[in-house]
Amino acid sequence: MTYRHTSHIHGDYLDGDLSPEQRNRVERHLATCDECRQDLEKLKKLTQALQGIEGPDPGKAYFDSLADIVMARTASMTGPELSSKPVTDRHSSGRQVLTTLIKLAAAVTLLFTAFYISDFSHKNHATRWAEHIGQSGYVTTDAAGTDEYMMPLSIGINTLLAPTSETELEENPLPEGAVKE
Amino acid sequence: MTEETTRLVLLFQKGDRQAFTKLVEAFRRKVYGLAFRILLNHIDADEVAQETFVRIYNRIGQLKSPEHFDSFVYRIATNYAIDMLRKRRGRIVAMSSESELPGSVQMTLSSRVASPEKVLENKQLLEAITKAAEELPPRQKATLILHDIEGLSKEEVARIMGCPEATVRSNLHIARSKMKKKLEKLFSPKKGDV
Ligand SMILES: [Zn+2]
Repeated sequence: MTYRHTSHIHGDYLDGDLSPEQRNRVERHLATCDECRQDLEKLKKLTQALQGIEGPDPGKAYFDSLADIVMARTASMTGPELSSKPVTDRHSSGRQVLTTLIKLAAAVTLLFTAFYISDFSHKNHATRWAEHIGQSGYVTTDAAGTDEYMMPLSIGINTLLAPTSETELEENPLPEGAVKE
Repeated sequence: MTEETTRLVLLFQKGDRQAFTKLVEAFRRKVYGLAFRILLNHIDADEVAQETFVRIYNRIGQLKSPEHFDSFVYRIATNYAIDMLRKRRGRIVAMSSESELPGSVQMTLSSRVASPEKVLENKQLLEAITKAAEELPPRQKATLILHDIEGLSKEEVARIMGCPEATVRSNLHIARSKMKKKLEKLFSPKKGDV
């Protein structure tokens, strides 16, 4: 073989992100190196498999109820950072739920009919779906560990992205509004 | 992003709630799908989806370029999902390699060949991929999902993750290498393989 191994740039090679010179170098190396050819083959299989993963589909009824809940939760919001907590059982002990419930009263009435004709129970959004999934045996431990879902919603975005793993490359994020051009 | 979306974003920024409804309808599947791929369960994905749209509602004034609304949406959803993932670490994730992934809320691996062997092979592969991805640090996992599964460009991923493209490149390389190593046996060339 004529050059050093090229496995560190095989990803960019597959993604088409290499300059013509770099591409050429990879191809010339691949022609002579079995190890790199195998590496590229495995990477190809991995990316093809990842590309083949199709998203889950909880169905139109779920997405309609999601939109209704979002509209109900934002109905009385006028300014930034007035976020109420997600509408689920796991927050039922939180004080915000009382006000949320009042805001939701009208929406719930409307939604009731839709829920009634479906085969889900009338508890709440998340629980209903957990049960739905549960019917077919796919229940996570998360469904049981109710309290662990509590999280402060006033948490700053920098805190949200605070690095916790030393093995991971981290960058200080921009504020969410400051989308780079 | 379409011109129609940009038009709706501008209306929404002026306080048009109907425009917001239309944006929710246009992006709800994307947001839920991304959250599900990162968190692998419906309850968490549902929370991320709800919270993402509520945050969008409150923070739309911060978006300076309406034509980048999709990155804005992805960024809020990814941040929230990553945070949940970090909080969830240490808890037992129920989806073991033996567990079935039935029901309507699940991911599938599209199979080009419909033979039963291929279906079984795909099922094993999906389970192995899911398990391997679960072990990645949250930002590496999110980068891999955004780029390799959602099909976004490195530039878009960088915008969403709030980091330079070079970091996306590195995180992607590390994530893929780890995955490749964990899936070694499944990906090793077999007799009769192409
Ligand atoms: Zn080589």
